[in-house]
Amino acid sequence: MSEVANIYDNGPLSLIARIKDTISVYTAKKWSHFQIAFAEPWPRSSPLRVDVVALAGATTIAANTNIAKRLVPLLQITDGEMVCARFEPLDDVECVIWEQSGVGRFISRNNQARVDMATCLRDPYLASTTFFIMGRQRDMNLEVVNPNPVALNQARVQFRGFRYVLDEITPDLSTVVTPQGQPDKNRQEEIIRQLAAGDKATVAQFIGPTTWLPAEGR
Amino acid sequence: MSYLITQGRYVGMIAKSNNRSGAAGVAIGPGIVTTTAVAATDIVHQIPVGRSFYVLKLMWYQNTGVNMTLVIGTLSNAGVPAMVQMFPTLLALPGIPGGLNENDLVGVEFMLNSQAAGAGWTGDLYVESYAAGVIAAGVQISAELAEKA
Repeated sequence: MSEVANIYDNGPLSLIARIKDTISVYTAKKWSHFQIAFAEPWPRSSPLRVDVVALAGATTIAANTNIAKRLVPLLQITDGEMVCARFEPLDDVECVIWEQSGVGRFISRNNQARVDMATCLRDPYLASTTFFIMGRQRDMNLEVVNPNPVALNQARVQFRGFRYVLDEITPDLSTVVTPQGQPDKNRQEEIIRQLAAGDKATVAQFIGPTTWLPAEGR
Repeated sequence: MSYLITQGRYVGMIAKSNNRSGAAGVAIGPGIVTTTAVAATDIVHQIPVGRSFYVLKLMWYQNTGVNMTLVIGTLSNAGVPAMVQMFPTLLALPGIPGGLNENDLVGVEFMLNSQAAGAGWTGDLYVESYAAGVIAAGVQISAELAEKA
C-alpha cells in the first residue's frame, strides 16, 4: 500500500486503494480516515457526459464569454461515498472546476488553471484533471469558458472515474489509559487532534497503513 | 480537413457509412441515398443524442444526362425546415463518379444548434441536388463519418 497515492501520475486512472484498504482524506481542513468498503468504476459513457449549455437552460455559449459555475447533477453522490474522476471537454471550451461553488481548484495565488481540448494532447490519460468529490453537499461545480470569437452551440464535458463507498474509522483508544488504569481523556483528545491533523506517527499507530488523498484543497 | 483533427484530437471515433441511427432515426438501406426532387428532405446521417460528427468521405454519381450540383449541409429548426449549407456547392457531372475524402473536405463539425427557427439547426447531414438551378432528383450519394463522443 502506498503512503502517497499515485493519483496524479501520468497513466490510466485506476483504483487509488483496494477494498478494505485504509485511506486518509484531506477534506474541510482536516484529515479523515476511512476504510474502503466497496469500489466500482464509472466508465466513460454518455450518462457521464454533460452539455453545460443545455444544463444552463441556454441555447448557446456566447463568444468570449463563460457559463457561470453550476452544479453538475450527474456527479452527485450520497454521504459515505467518494468519487475520484477525470474529465475532458468534447467541444472547444475551457473548463474551470470549483469545490462546491466558492473555492477554486487547480489554483495558484492569483490564477486558476483550466482544462481544454488540448489538455489530452500532452496528458493523454488526463491525469492532470483528477479531482475528488466527498459525500453529499460537497459537490463539484463546473464553469465553462468559450475562448472563440463565435458562439458555440454545445459545451459537452465528459467524465469518468471510480466511486468508493467508505466506512469512517473510529480509532481504538481503549489502550490509552492513566497509570491507574482509567481512560486518559486528555491523551485521547490529543490523539484525536493529531489524527485530524494528519500526524503520520499517530495515524500509523491508531489507524494503521493508509493512503493519503488530497480530496479538497481548502 | 486536417488529419490532425481526426487522428489527434478526436480519439475513439466511430466511423459510419450512411447510418441513420438516433432517437427518431428511420433505417433505410445502408450505403446510398438517392436524392429526390423535394426540397431539403434527403437525410444522409442523423446525429445520435449527445454526439457530433465530421464528414470524412463523400462519394456521388448521377447519370441524368445533365450537369447537376450538390448542396451539402444540415436543416434549420424553422417550421418549414430549410437547408443550411455547410460545404461549398459541388459539381456532379453525368456519368462520372465524384468524391472527396478527408484531406479535401474542410473540418465542419455537424452538431445540434438548439436555437429557435432562423438561427438553429438539427446538425443532421442533408443533401440536395439541383439541375440548372432547380431542385432535381437522381444523384446517388454516400458518406463516411466520424462521430465524436
